[in-house]
Amino acid sequence: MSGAVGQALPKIMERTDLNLIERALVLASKGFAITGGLGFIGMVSMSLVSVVGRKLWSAPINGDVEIVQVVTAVAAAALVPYCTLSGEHLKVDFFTEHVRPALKNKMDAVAYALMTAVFVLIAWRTGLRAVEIRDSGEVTTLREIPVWLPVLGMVPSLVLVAACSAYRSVSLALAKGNAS
Amino acid sequence: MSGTTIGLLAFGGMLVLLGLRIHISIAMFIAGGGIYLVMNGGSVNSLMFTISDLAYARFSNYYLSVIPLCILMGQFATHGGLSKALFRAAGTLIGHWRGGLAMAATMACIGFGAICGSSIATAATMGQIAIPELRNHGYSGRLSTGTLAAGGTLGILVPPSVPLVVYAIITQESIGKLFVAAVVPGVLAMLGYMLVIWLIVTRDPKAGPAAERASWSERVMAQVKVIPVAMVFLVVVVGIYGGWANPTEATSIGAAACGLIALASGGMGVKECLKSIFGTAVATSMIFTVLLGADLLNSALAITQMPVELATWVQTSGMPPLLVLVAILLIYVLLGCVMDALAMILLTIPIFYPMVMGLDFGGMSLDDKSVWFGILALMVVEIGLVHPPVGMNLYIINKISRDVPMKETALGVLPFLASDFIRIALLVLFPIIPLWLVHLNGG
Repeated sequence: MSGAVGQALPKIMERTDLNLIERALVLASKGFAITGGLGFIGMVSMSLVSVVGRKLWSAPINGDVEIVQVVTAVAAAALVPYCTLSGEHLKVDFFTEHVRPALKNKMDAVAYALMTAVFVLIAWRTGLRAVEIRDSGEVTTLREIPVWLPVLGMVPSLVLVAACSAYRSVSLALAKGNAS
Repeated sequence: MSGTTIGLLAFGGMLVLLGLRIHISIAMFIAGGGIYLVMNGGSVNSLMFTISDLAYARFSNYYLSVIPLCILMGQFATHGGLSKALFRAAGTLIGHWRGGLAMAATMACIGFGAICGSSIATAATMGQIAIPELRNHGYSGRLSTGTLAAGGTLGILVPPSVPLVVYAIITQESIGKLFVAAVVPGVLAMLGYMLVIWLIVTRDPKAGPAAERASWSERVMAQVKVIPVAMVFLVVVVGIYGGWANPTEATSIGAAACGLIALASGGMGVKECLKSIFGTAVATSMIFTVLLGADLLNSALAITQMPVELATWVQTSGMPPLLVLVAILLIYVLLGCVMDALAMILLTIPIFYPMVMGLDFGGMSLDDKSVWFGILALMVVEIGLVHPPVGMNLYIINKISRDVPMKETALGVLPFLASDFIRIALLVLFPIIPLWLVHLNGG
């Protein structure tokens, strides 16, 4: 995708010379992605059981739709840090293709700084919302899952996205520009 | 300042941000946030309230789960060795025709597209298998790479298709109907590409020499190996449309089947499984973060009334509906020069969709119009994948076949592009092409 073209930083997932912060971010984002991926694989299994149960014994899993919604929210959020740290988010490269690499890095540093700000904001508001929902005691209709749990479950991922984009912003700002 | 003016200014501002390398999701977020602030006279309350619910409301959408599952299915499919089986199955049937192996590659692409919702993955996977084979049989570089770059687009044309799911989610259209409607246009696309190959080898027989004829037993054996692909496709498309599985369940079954096939073929160890998960993480997150930004922007635009007012303006301007539609499609072709297919859909559908819905195309029902426009939009954004300067399929194919220069690949894809344009014109003029299968099912 367009995000992958003309990357200025060497790919962090393939590097072996990581410092402590980088190693922590790589480990955390990989761990989150694997957890999210396993969440989806779990969802696949549940849907299979539900569809077979419904067809053969007219006995689907009670509240399967709710479970899918809850799992999707938490699992999908857990995938985002890996994409962020790899620098694969979509952007338009076309108009700046011929810009000097040093300037391009500076522009990307600003872009990631904005991304950090946006995700800090989203993480903060989502966290507050979780507290609000906990206080109101909202639960899902069929399985009575407390809604604040999945909402809160997204927050660590959102915080990690902010940390990953902050890291990219700083390293792009410090990059020499000839790294590409 | 009127709401529409604010909306237009924000949209323009967002385009400037995009040009300055701000990520698409963030540019949309900023534009949406800006509108909220201006519309509320600088008060942040309503913006903060919307952001509080943004992430959970978006990510917990039931149908959204189809996207990661679709992507996961494609990831598993790439490790299952199915691409090779598909190419062999088609190759044993028609490889002995002049240009037959290239046609077989096109057929294999449509087969792979039926279990994978991404064009880039289809181009990469099929390219790795088919291009060396075509070159070994003396096919010209231009025909080999052109065929595979164009054939890759069948990945999103044929259901399951990730962009169609995204379209369905933002327009609240039925995923099942869209998938069924995409079947005939997908087959037409394949036939069009095969016709192009036939024309090329008729003019220049050296471009695609005939391969050896396969024996009947070889043919039968090769077909047996692709039965799982047909099964997966049938389960996903027929399952959804037949109403015995919803899209999430059907793609779950598809993903499980592809995973099992990959396991059985021995192509799926721990390493490949992790690769599939990381690949899914990247592709899913790209889409979901843009969706997050799109959500804020769209709810902000709705406050300004801009999409409704633009639609009314177009409706009352007296412009012929067909002209408006063609203009929209041309805008997509142009946008395709600078932007990814999914980003285009997310960015423009909220504005173009109400416009098209408000126009009269020979008394077509709203439901039909919505499905028809979805298929048309998919076809034009898919063209962006193969035309220079940023056609991703061209880059992917060029990486695989190092001995064919980029210029040759770009030239090679041109005749296929011509067939794309002819097919789109047919679909614009005869909406029944995508719709008849939908109607056949009583939709």
